[in-house]
Amino acid sequence: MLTRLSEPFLQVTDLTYQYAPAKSFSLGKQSFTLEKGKLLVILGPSGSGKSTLLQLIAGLLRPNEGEIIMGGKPIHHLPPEKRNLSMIFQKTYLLPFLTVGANVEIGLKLKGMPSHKRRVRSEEILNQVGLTGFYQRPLSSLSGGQEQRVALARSLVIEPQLLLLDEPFSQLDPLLRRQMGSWISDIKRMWEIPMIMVTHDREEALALGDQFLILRDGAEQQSGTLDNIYYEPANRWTADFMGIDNVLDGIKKGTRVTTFLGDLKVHPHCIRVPDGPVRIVLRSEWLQLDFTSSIKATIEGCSFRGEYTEVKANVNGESVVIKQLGLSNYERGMETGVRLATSNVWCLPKEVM
Amino acid sequence: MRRNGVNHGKSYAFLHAIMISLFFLPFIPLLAWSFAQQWRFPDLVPTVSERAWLYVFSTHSQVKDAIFNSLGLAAVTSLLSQVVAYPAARALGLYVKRWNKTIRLLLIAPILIPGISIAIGVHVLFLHSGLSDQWLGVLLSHLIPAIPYSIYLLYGFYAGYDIGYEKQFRLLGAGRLQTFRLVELPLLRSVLSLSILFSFLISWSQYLFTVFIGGGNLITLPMLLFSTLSSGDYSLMGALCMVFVLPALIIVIFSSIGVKKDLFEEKEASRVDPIV
Repeated sequence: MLTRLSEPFLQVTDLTYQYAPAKSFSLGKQSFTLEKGKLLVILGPSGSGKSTLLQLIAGLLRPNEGEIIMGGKPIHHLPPEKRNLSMIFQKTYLLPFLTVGANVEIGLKLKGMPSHKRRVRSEEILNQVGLTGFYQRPLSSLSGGQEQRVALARSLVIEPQLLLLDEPFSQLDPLLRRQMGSWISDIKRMWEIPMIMVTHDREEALALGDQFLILRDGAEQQSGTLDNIYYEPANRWTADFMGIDNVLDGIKKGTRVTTFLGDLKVHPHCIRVPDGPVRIVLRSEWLQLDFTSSIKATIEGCSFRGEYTEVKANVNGESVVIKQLGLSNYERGMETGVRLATSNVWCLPKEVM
Repeated sequence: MRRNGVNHGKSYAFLHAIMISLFFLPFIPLLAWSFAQQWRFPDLVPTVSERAWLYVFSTHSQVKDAIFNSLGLAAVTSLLSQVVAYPAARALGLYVKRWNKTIRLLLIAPILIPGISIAIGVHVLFLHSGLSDQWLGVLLSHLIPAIPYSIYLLYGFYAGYDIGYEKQFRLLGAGRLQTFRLVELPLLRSVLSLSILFSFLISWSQYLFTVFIGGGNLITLPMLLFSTLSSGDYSLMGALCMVFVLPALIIVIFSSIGVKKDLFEEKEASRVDPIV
């Protein structure tokens, strides 16, 4: 297909949706672009409108306004079956009265492909998702993870131009979830299919996404790359949502900010924040316990979280959270010091909090 | 549940046999009477005569017409009630949230209110509109008790139906009709066949509405049965009862096989300990 290089593969412009007047929820104008082979994660708490946005792209809901252009063609007026995209839901929705193979090839059957060709293609794709020899199996013989892979195979076999994932692994156990995550990464790399995934799982989102869109109550809070949303929260809510534990008060003056941790350098992108009282956001992993540090701290408590220990410490009368890799045990009331493991800090003007 | 062990299977078969024989037991005296000329105390078996059956199959009896009338009415009733019940049940199960309970209560009102009061009311209405003494009028009156049952049966299905199946298949390239044919209908099949069966039997055994609305012009099997009942001819009654019960029996047997074969229920039930 001939598309100008400058144009992104998927272009969503000013998409809005209003549920029936009885429900007050509406999705405010949403715009984003997506390139081939990239995965966009739409993140947000439940009720934020992330599933609504996905259903608008899928065609299961009709937008009130806005347009969706995929591969240079507008698709927002088409019914879902004509959009040439595929979606994977939380539940697999495999038909229990069909075999694995019949389930996988149903999309090809709908396209009118003859049965012997369908079978070849389906077995090929089942190989690729690690289910060789499952073609004739009844559905009841599958485990949860295998069912989800059959659903993936069924969605991929029709060669969609875009793959939508609606919290696809939320019903799987953590181990399977990670496995499925790496499957998705592999498929994205090998097939170059652009994907949009909706999730409320921060860890899963950060592990898989190339681009991010954070929604709250139908409005965009922040969008951008991993660096953007990890290091540079747009506001206090996003900072909390992204799991930034330490939001501290400070007084900004030029490129420096004064806090109870001392005089710190401001992130170059925050120079435009007006001088005066500001808030400093500090990820807990950027703070480290250091006995030799000049910033004195008292341990208030610690708890082990499986991979790291979350330590609460009191610095100059203010509480901070520090993450230490591995299991460490500190006595309550122990005197120690705190070191900042970053050269500059992100700050937010006080108004947007 | 796990189904294993030979003992379990044996006791199941035994129970099954008892239930089947209990089911057929009431038909034995009926069958015997249908071939009886006389059956007086202390005779153990009646004196055999084929009179009743000859009458049933004879050209001058009304039995054949009655069978055709009953069959036609029951067939059309069972189909029409699905046509009405399907959209109603789907809407109630999936979309209508406000007043849902009230609407359902209103819909089963025809079953809750005594049939005679409905029959009289409907009769008056049909007399005014000229539907009385007509085949169409009788058909419409049979729909009154049949539709609520169908709506309720189908509603039960749609209340627990996940519309995600349809969304998924639309996204795999299926149009609305294809989605209905490939997804909804197969999932609905067992409930739908039950609903058809129910409404068929309701119409098949309908007496009150047929008499009131049909005004005696339309002879159905239950009407013949009632008039024989008052005549005291036990042999003819036995033969008619056998004819009356036969189609119902055939449908029950076939549909129970159909329900048993339903793969969906089977698969869901036998889903035990998936291997990771």
